[in-house]
Amino acid sequence: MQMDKTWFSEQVREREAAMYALAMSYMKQEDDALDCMQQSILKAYEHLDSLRDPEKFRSWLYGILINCCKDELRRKKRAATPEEHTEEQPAPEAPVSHETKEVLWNAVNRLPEPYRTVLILFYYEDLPTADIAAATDTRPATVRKQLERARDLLKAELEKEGFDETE
Amino acid sequence: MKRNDETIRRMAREEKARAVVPDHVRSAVEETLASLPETPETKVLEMPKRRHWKLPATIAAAFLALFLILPNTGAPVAHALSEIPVLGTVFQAVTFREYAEQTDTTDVSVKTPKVASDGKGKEAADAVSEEIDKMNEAAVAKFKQDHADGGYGSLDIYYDVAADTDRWYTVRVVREETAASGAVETDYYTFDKTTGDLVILSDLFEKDEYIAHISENIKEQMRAQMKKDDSVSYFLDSDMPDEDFSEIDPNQDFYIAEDGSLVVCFDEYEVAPGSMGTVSFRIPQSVYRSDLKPEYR
Repeated sequence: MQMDKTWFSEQVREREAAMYALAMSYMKQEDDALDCMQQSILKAYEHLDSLRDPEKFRSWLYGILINCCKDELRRKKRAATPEEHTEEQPAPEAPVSHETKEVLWNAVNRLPEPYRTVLILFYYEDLPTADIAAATDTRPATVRKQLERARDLLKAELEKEGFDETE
Repeated sequence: MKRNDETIRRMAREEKARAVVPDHVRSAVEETLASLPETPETKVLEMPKRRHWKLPATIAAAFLALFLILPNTGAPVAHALSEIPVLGTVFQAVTFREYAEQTDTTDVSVKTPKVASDGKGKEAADAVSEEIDKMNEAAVAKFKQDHADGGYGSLDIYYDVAADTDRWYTVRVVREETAASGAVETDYYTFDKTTGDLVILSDLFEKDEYIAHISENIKEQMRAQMKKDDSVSYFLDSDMPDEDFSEIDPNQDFYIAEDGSLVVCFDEYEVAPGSMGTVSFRIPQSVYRSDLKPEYR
């Protein structure tokens, strides 16, 4: 398999929806999310030769995107005036769809990190915990613990909405 | 929990199927892809370091030479895992750095060992001590970073001696984070007193079959425990095969017990839910004996 520009572009196109959802979950604002997506695409391509296993492209790309988002959030926080310093804001809209109210997605987006990211990668992207660990620079055992706690938090969020199907 | 998991999975699938990426986002991605050069610039990212330190080849060769000379001294050619070594190296873990830091919301307690040894084991002991110190300080730094914006949590790092037999000395380092996002992380460092060498699991074996043999035995033990006690649970034979335990790592944590049996250790959440804590399995010698290097049989 030749990991050239054509291959890379196909891989990114297949994952642009997931990248958009992930970036929105961090950045909340579409312009910022789009900036991070573009930055991470450029960075991933620049370092493509460091990807040893093409099968791991997905978790590798998401890891780069997550780091871009975190860097950008840190930069924004440093640049913000004290008045602008606020707690993490809830997502202004459901980024997977502009038309439909997505119960689960909105509940996931109200959760703090790292629970939001592990839930998105595990349930929406079907990544195994080993790959989530690679993307988030942690260990599979830690991801499993985060998932266990995230499910409890998510259940509580959904129950607040009167949604008790998970019981 | 299982029903909860299945419901979340189903809802996520349905919502993902309805997901729409706005056209302007799609266009921006296409523009970015079009702007890429035909050939990417080559900058190699640093590869992650191996978790356990191993002796440099030259030192390892020196130890090997020492071992090969032993038969000429009249000592037995091979020692079983539990036999008394003829030339023993003394190892001793002593507290090297101990401190505690508290804020209104966090509590950090660190007790780091230095592994002391005589001439033959000094290189390995010093390198392990340095690695433990670095890993402990990195864990503290990460904990502080994770809690920079507040949030309750504690980090407790300590050590003990998991095994001190005639042949083997094992130091266990535990990093226990009680914040919701952390898990108990344990590292075992096992020294062979006959060589003064640090040994990782794969060093004991000459045949790769040990991975399958030991893994199968662990699965049998898991199944037997789950059958006997409903409260026991492992990641095995579930409806999520990707998450099930498949096989041990060549670098899996272990120690050699007093009776010479191999004890394979797993971190919290590595092969079982958090309610099980850290787990370990004692492997009968009959399972792996034929895979051992001659000097360990």
